[in-house]
Amino acid sequence: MTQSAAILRLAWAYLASHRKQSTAILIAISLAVSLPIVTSNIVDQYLQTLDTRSGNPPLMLSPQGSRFDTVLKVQYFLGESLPPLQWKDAANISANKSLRCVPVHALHTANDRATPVIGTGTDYFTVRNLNLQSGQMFTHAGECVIGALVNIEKGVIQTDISNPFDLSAPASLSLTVAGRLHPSGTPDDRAIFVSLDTAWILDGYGHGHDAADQGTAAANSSVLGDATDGHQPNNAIRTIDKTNRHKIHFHGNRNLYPISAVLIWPNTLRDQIVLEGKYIDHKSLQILRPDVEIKSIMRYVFQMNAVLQRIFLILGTGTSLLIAVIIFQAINARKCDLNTMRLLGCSHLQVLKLLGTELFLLLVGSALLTIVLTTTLIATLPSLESLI
Amino acid sequence: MQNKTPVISVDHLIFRYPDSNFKLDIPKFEVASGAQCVITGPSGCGKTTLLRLLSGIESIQTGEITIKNQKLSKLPHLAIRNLRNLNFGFVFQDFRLVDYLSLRDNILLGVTLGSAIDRAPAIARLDKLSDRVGIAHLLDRPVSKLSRGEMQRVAVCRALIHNPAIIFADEPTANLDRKNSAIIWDLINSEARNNAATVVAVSHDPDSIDRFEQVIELDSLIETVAS
Repeated sequence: MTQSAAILRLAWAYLASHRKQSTAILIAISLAVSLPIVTSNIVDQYLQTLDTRSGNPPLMLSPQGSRFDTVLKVQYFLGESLPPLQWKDAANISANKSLRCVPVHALHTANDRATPVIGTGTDYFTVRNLNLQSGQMFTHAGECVIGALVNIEKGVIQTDISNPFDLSAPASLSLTVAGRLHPSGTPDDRAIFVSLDTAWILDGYGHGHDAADQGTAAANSSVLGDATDGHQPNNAIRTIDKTNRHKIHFHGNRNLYPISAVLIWPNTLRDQIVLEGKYIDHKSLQILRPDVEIKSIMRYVFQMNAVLQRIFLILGTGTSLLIAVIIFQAINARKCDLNTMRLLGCSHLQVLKLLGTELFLLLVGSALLTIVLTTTLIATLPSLESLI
Repeated sequence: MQNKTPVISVDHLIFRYPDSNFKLDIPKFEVASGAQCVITGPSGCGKTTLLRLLSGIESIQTGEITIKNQKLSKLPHLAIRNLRNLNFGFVFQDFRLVDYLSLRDNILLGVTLGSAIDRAPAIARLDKLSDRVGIAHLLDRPVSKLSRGEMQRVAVCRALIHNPAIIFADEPTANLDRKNSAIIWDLINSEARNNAATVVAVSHDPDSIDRFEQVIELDSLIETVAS
């Protein structure tokens, strides 16, 4: 055994015989290092998610209300459902030839509210540059296209009931997966896309009856309660396929059907300014600039992160001092052993090498623990988006 | 023995501890190379202090100590450390073993952390030496789990492992029964003879004193030579 190996052995013997002290130092160092890394990583991921589409589209039409919540919901599919606007508003703005408009219906979820169900047109995939990885685009009511990260079981997606406490709420649907999108690194990877008709069926504006069931008069709490010819089926069709597709029908005035917002790409800057001016004093609608809203929230997140990092810096400094005290105390407690080494004529350099090796082993152990801890925390902690 | 070259010589050595009335005043004495010498005297007369001065652990204040023709007062600290590490073997009164290390690591401690000792011969000697003192089967056990007698043997092994030229032993058999005491002295004396090493021991056990050819009665500094 070489001298270095023998010193390593002595250092290991010391650390192993002082397990509690060594473990405390390992954990303290690892926490002091990994917590800022994990926090920074979570915040960075969140900022990255926000940044993916902050300026795309440049404008958005939505009902009057929280601008940021609207952007968060429509652009990132995060947060609670917001009051919708009516289809006629979307149709009005879409008639403007100097704008490219894509309606978005973000009022439903699937997989126990884990996955947003987005109703939109096929234009959405063009403007978002989303391509199919497998299968085909939805062509019929009851079909969906899923994002790259959406989990499915047996080729079917079960939507959630919008309000489980409303007995007359529309039943959930089993959506047939028509295709899967390529990964895009955007919130679209986690979403399920359906046609607006399917979204309105989920709202309860459209449905189909079993042959034996011709439906009843509209219940008070049903969305069809507002429809003049409203009625609702006793046993609504839960899976739409070619055998029952012809039975699906809609009620009420389509112009009043809900959507969440309209994504707008003006052809020119002038078109954008004109549009913004047109809606500046609108009573029920607003034109948003997603990038402005996102930048304001990113500024808050940056500030929050900066404050957190400062706190971690203070904690890290405190931990370092604490570790220094522990090491100093440990050396103090070993005065007798170190004196024995002096009496035996041990070289100063070799004794320092021994103490250095102990510290080195602690640092290597801490580094390994930090890697494990950081990786585990990043993998297991929920993302900031999911907490919103 | 008187004709042999002195390996240790003390000349007009005076030593005081600060803030203490204690004073060690030794006009002159010599220990010949290969001699087996014991320092005796009543408690508190300075036996251990003299041993510490001879081994360079305490610095000389007045007078001179010459070890292997090197005047300790002229040697820098580093050289004295190296001299201690290479040429001296120590058996301390309180053993001074490192309790978290195994017997093996304790015995090799001075060799492992020394700057100039060749480890290979020491490692090769370890099995034979530990076998002779009856601790070969305990080499990987932590020192903290040993009996006092076993610790004493480990301390002796550590002092002998690098074949030192001079062995300093400070009451190495204190608290041992007569039989075990004899084993330890036999071991020290025979190892010293085999390697032509000089032994300077401190003891006030009459049975032990009889084993030494040179007895230094520190209290009166009357040097007697045993037959």
